[in-house]
Amino acid sequence: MNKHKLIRNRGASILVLLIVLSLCLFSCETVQPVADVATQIGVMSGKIDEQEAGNIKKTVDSLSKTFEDITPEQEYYLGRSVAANILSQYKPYDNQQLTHYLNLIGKACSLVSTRPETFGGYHVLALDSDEINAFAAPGGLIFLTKGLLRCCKTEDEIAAVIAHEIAHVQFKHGLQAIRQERVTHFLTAILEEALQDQLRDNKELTDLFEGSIKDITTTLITNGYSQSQEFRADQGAMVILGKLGYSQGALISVLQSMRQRFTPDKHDFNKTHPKPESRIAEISKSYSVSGLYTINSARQKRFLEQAKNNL
Amino acid sequence: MIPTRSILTVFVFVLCTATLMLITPVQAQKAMIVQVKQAQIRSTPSFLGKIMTRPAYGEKVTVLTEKKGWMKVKRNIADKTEGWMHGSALSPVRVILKSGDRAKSGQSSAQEVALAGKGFNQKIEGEYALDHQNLDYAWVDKMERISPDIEELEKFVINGSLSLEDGGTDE
Repeated sequence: MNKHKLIRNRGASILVLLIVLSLCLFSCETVQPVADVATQIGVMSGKIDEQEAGNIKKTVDSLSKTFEDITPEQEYYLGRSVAANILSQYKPYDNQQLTHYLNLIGKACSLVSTRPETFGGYHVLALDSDEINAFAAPGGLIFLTKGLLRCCKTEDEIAAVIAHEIAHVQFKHGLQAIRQERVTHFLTAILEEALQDQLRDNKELTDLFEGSIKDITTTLITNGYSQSQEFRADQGAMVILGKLGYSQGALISVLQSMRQRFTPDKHDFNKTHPKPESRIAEISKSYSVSGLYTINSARQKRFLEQAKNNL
Repeated sequence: MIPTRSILTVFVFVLCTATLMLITPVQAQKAMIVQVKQAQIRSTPSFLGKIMTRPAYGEKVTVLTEKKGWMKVKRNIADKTEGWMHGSALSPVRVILKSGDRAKSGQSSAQEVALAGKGFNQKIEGEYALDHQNLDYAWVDKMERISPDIEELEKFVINGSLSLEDGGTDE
């Protein structure tokens, strides 16, 4: 190795060290631009060549890969296949009037969420099942069983359960269900593909896709999200209800109805969610609302016509 | 040759840049990429605002200012329309230095690598579906086509004494 190259390599090493050091000083969100600026300066000043700059970038990338780096488009394709899996276990409830009504409520709720726009948008479908259950696939495909909809006595209560599912999407809880090593492997693979302009082996990506779908579907249908994620989704739902003008007490009320209707040992919300009383207690820490609220007559009229009559 | 001193200078510069990023709430004139399939640029920072134009997925726009989760953007193509997009429809431009100087045509410069369409995409979904022929994507497609239009939604909201005024704000 000649002297010039040696000095350059030392320079590159020090730069890597300094960038990694900056990780300790700034948040992950800031590290990415820092790395970009640092590598560009390195190239411009001639201290490192472009290949070394690429290696630095990869080093930093490997430190900051999380579910947050999955693009909305990738999330969309994961969500579609998660939805197809849900629909292989639950029959859709094909009722045009109810579906349209649910989507009006869903669209309104999504527009006041902190993530109103996803790659493919939010869409709601009822499932022909007596189970009390709901699912949100990544990207915004939301499913509510007839059993859960029968627990709702008003439009506000339907909005509460949809808002809870939208909150799971806005906080990307589905993507967080993917095992971290799979996320790292996937993001490394696509970055390498992008950097090298070479197409990856599709089998590798298909296997990663399959594993990710399995992780998410198992969490949604079998294991459930963590208690803290459920509590956070309830908080998100309360904010959505409040912003839109629905009664926040509706979430408390529907949780109370669910508690009364749960069947022990049945596979439903009871298996995948914290107990309704724990959720009510958690909500009550931040909001002084009860399950009693004023019913809006115009909303109740359309609820009876478009939901209740179809369940 | 003064490598160490120069590198320290670079590091100090980088730290200053990062500090500025942390303390500056609004980063004017930054570039963002459209990251949703059907995006709209509106006349006002509201989902009820008039749609002025529809930028394409992957299109780069320049952010002029930000307001409660909304961004005033300018298109970089011929029409240069300025208007509002919600921040959730945009993502930062991800710059990746490449080993060669292979200029890409279209919206990306040689130093940018578009991740659009990479990784999990329609092709991967197709291969997954082939291995899982019990899955029915027809209903997923049908579900995606269900989307009330904004005028109907506005009526629904008004008739129900609801409000979209806080739509998309971070507060």
